[in-house]
Amino acid sequence: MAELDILVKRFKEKNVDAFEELHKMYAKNICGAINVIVNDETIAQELCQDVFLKIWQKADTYDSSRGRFFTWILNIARNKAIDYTRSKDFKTQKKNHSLDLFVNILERPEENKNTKEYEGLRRMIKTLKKKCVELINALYFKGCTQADAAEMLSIPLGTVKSRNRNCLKALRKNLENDK
Amino acid sequence: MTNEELISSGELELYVAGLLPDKRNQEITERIGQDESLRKEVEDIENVVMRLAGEATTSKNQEFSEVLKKIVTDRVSADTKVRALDTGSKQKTFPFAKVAGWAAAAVLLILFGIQFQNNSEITESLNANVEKKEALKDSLQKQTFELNYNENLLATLTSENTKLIELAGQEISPDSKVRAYWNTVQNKVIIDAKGLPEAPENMVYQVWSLKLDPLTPTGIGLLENYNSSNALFVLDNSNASEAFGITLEPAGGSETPTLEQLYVLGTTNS
Repeated sequence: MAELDILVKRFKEKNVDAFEELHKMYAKNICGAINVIVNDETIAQELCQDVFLKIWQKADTYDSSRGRFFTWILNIARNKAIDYTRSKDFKTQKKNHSLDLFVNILERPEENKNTKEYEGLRRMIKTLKKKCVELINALYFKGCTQADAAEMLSIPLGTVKSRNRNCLKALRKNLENDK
Repeated sequence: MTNEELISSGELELYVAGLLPDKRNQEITERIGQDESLRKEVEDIENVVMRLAGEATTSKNQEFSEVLKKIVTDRVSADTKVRALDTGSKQKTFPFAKVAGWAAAAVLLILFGIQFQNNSEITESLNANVEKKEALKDSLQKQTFELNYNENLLATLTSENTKLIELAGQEISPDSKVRAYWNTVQNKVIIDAKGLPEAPENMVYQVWSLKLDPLTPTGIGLLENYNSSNALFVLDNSNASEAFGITLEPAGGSETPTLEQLYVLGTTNS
């Protein structure tokens, strides 16, 4: 049994220490995934803590036979973030602001040209085609189904799966070259 | 569908995204559990998504203590709500407003007491958990170490560079039987000693690598604390061994083997 499996097992038994280890492993990624949607670091931090509260409360409902632990918490995180973007508060605050971090980076590169903010993210996606970034954003961060993504990006449903694989392969290659 | 077909299908990427139907998720989870290459592929996909997400925040530290605070606050708030509801229903059934006022005050006082107690319990529980933290880490590291150790052991045993040498019982103990697994690349010998009788007090089994002509024994290790539940020993051996033997020696081992106490012996080319 791998270390992660042991941790998750203890976490399901409501072991706080195992929970802390998992928090250490995943908090940054989950906060980032939320920030992709809300594009506001302070709100993302707050929602991130709420997500970890929720996964603690729902610890016993995680079923490893139905998918990866990361997939489970990512799903909870994006639902939380999407719910928040539907709130009145968020709509009022963000009406003059791009709602999505990826869109912001892709469409307004001049805004952050002279800052190191999200430099790693920009480096990861800079050689990717825009349609790849949009597809990965839709499937992993916005919680779109394949059909939703196909419709949103005006591509045939049958190509979503293969295009997503090719896009992630390109991303993996970028990471390897970046090492 | 072969592993290669599954990998190139793009389904594993959707699995990590959580976009497959339940039944398919379960099928893929099962296959990943059985196949290291699939598991690795899924982990690679997961890593790239995690990395992408991790780069999407400028925040360096996510404080676990903030999550703990939320857990405590949430618990306290839930308890208060439940008690407030209980209090409300009791007041409705009580007809006299004046007494009800006193009763409500008393209930509030009790609630306050219970709440205080509850908070103390939660704080104590959290403190206890913090104290247990180090113990868990140790335990986890130990378990991981043991798992890795066993995995390495298994890898050595099943390696094509590992030779099995049967050490047969000698005059002093004809029924003894020991297996030695010699990995000539890693220069390790794994001794499965469970066919030896337990060593008498203050005595220890010592393993010897032997060159036969002329007979040159080199001690390569002791089977310390050998018993039926501790019978596997991993020893270093970079000698060009032609045979292995095990003798019974005084605690601490000997410079040269006591041949009258030779329990098992086997040649490496047998």
